[in-house]
Parts: sequence; structure tokens; C-alpha cells
Amino acid sequence: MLFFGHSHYAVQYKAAILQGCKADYLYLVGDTQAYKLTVQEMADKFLTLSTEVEPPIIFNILGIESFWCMWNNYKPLEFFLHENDSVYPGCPIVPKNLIVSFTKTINSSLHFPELLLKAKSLVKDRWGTVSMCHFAAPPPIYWENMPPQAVSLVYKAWVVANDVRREICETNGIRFIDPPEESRDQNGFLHQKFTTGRHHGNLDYGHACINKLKTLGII
Amino acid sequence: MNPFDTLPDNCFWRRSFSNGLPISEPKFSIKPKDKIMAAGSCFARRVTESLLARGCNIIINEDFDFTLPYHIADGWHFDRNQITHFIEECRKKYNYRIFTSRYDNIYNSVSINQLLQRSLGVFIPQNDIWTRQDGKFVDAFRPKINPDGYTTVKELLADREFHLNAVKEAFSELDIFIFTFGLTETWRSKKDGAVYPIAPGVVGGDFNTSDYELVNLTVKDIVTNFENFTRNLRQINPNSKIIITVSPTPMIATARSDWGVIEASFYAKSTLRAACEEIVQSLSNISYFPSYEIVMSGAFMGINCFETDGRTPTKEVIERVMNTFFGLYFKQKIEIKPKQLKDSGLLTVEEECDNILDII
Repeated sequence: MLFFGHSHYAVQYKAAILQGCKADYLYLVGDTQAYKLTVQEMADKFLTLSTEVEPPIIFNILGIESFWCMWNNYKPLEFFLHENDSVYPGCPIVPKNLIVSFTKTINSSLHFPELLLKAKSLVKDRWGTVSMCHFAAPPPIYWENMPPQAVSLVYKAWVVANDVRREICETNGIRFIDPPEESRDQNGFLHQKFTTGRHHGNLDYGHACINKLKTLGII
Repeated sequence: MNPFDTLPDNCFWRRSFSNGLPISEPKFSIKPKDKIMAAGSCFARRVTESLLARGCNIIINEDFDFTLPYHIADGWHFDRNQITHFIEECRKKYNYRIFTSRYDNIYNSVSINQLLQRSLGVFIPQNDIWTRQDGKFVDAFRPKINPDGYTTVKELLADREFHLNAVKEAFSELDIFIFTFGLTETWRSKKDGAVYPIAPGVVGGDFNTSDYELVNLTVKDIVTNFENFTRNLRQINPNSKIIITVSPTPMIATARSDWGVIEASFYAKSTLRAACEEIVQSLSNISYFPSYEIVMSGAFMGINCFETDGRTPTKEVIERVMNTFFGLYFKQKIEIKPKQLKDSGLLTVEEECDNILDII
């Protein structure tokens, strides 16, 4: 199998190796613009893959929910994810469509749809049938002293980010894989035992992802 | 000796006309640090826009702003122009930065007084939520503020709670309040006198004569309500100063069938102008700025002040109005400072990514 994309694939790759799978990886970081890889750069990187690499192809692109906590002069805001949702008191309410549009804009800025489509065609050219899926970014991670309004916003932003990417994937015939259920705590965040730092799952999370891929019959 | 002997040049048409019809000095000036709140009709949008562009200390307390720190934006190679353009489009679509808070157009003194009273919790209108044809809900006092509509009443109420708190804060902290009167025709609830900016049934709700009535405000109505507004404002902000003006934009429609939009417009502007004079004469620390006169006097000077629709003031005349405004009220120069960006100190994604790759 081939893991390719951004940093989240790293623990999945390592877990796959430790579980005895034959796996390779391709880190989608451009030489000049880091995460903002161009389609051509990705195609060039694909050419460097060993001839022994085989499907399935597991695509990972960085999660964008954490951007909401990086804005300078961070001002908490809130939105209603669904009809029965609740919001943190005292926060400005923005329309959900605005969050959805913003997520699409960030995706577009990262060339996500183009990279996904190009990856699909590269995989098809090389292996014929498309056996490719997109693994969602891990659930957001709670950190100590995280402002309570940020907890609410980041979780909801992560859900929206997944919904947006799921739609793009499904429109293009690519399966979208949600994180393993057991990796989430009661608030939907990545369970502390699966975390390392503020943004990534740890090796145990990687194992849970590989187990999920096995359960789904993808590997 | 006669009463005109000692009057200045701008009191005389011939001398004034040859000098470009100058405007008389206002009662007070605005200091660069003065906090300004602006509200009013659609012309007031242009006023707010101009105040923002010229670096005035205008209060914006309901905003949509997601500026990434430069080191992050550059590190991730975001297309800054794309993000900036997106944010600007969102602001336009969802009515951010149009006014101090997201109250949308406020056309008359009854509405501005009721907005203040609602923000203070002393007026709670009975009919304040309307339903659209698509089943979404709108805030009856700002039905166009969220073009998507609210999915639930709960969402609308949460947004309104934040909004009214923002309004209260702005009224409490402002130094200068600029209000542009726009219309005299308005829609009123027969139940409790609540006044709506748009007729029920246009954007949401349903018009019926048992609940709503058309009212054409008189000079007395306007003056009384503005006096009440000023009294209420100064109870929470005793030192506040007010600048009032009349929008030159003609009405887009009249709801009365016994006259046309031209008579209705001139009635409205004349009434508002007369009311402004009474207000200025009767209350302290209130100044009248003649934006209506500046635009309409274009006709005397052979200047076309409206676009081809005959209704929208041209950019040039708005510039002229605002240049006059700034010349009269701002005696000290405003320095426009770029927004200072601070490091949020939260981003360690790249470092973490490198750490993870190191373990492979």
C-alpha cells in the first residue's frame, strides 16, 4: 500500500509496517512552497516511486480545523452545526454557510481538489483500477487551558472540514474514511491516549487507523 | 445699518455661490481618538465606508476577520489575496462592517430609539421574528442581515443576543454618534408600536392590516422620538455628541397610492430636514451636517450628482460630501496606521510534523 499526503499519514505508515504490511509513503511537501504543493510537483514526485509500490492508495491531507485557533487576535466565534446544536455563550454567531465557504476557500488555497483529482488519474494511469481512499484528518486535539469557546469551534470546524472533503471525494468516486470511532472521546476530540502534541495522532492512533482499513476490507 | 450688514459671506447666495457654496462651521469637532458609531439609511453605509477608509476610530464590534499571522500565512504559502478577497466578499454578503454593529439600515428616529431600548432590554417587541417562504427565519428588525436566513429560532435568538449586546456596548462607549435620517414612511406594529425597516411580507413575515400599519412620520414624531433617543443615550453615555444628517437618496418606492414616489421623496426629505433643525435647536451637543444640501446643490452648480438611475449618488459627490465632512469636523490630521499583527504563539504544526517523520 501507499500512504501519501501530509503529516497524518506518518503514524499510519509506521503502524502498517509494524503490523507486517508492505507499505510505502510519499510525503506531499513541495520544495518551494511546503504544504502548498502544485499538481505538477505531485506528478513529479509520483515518478520517483519504486516500481514495487502497490495499491491501495491511502491519501491524507492536513486537517484545517486548527486554523481556526491560529488566527491572529483570535476572537472566538460560534456557529450552529445542526438544528439542535448549542453555542458557547457570548460568542458572535456566524452563518454555517460562511464556515463552509471558508473551508472550501482554504481547501482551494491548498489545491486540495486539484491534487485529489490528479492523484486519482496518476493512480489510474499506473495501476489501472482505482483503489484509492482519503483518510480524514484525526479529530481535533484538546490541549491544556484551551479556551472553552475554542473547544466548541474547533470541533465543529473539523466536522465541517470533513463534510466538505467527503463531498469532494464522493463526487470524484473516492472513498472517504472517517477516523476510528474508538479514537474519539465523549466530546468528539481525539482521545488523549491517541495524541502526540496538538495536531497529530500517535502510533496507537496509527494502529487504530490500520485496523479500521482492515475492517473495511481496504487492506 | 440693517440686519444683514454683519453677516458672513456664506449667508449670501451670490458671494457664497462664487465661493462654491461653503458650509458653515459645526458646533464641535471630532478628535482623531474619538470613538465613532454610525447608523442610518443606505447613505449612512457610504459614510461608514468613508470613515473606515480614512482611518477614523469607528467602532466595529460585530466583525468577520480571520487574519493569519504573517509568519503562518507565509509558512503555509496561503494565497493571501485569495483569503483577503474571500473575507471581503463574506463581509459584503453577510453585512459585516457595514455599520458599527450589524443592525443594517435604520431609517428613522423611532427605529434608532427602539434599537437603543431593545439593547437595554427596556423594549421587547412582540412580533420580532418573521418566517420566509423557504421556511427560514429572519430578524424582523434586520431581515436582510443574514441572506441565508436562520435555520432555527434558537440560532436567530443567539445571534440577536450577541448583536444587541454589541449595540449596547457601542452606545455606551461612543464619543460621537452619526445618524443619517432616510425615510418618513415606515411600518409599525399595531400591538406595541414596534417599527420595522422593511414592510412585512417583503423579505419575511406576512402583511395584514390587523397587525401592521403604514405610518408616515411627521416632524413632531421625528423630533419627539429623537429627543427620547438622545435622553436615553445620555443616560448611559452623558458626554456623547451627535451629528445628524439627511440622506440625499430618493425613496425607492412609496407605499401610498395617492401620490407618486417623487412627491413622497420630497415630502420625506423636507420633513426630515425640518425635523433636524428643530432637533439641533432644542438639544445640546448635536450638530447638523448638510449632506443632503451638498448633493442637491449640485443642480444649482450644474453638476450631475446622481448615477443614471437618478437615485444613486455618484462616487464623486459622495467624495465631495465626505471631504467637506472631514474638513469641517476633523481639525487634526488622522494618521492611518497599518493593523498591528501579533504572534498567536499557537502554531507548531510543522515542528510536530518533522518530529513525527523523525520517528519513522
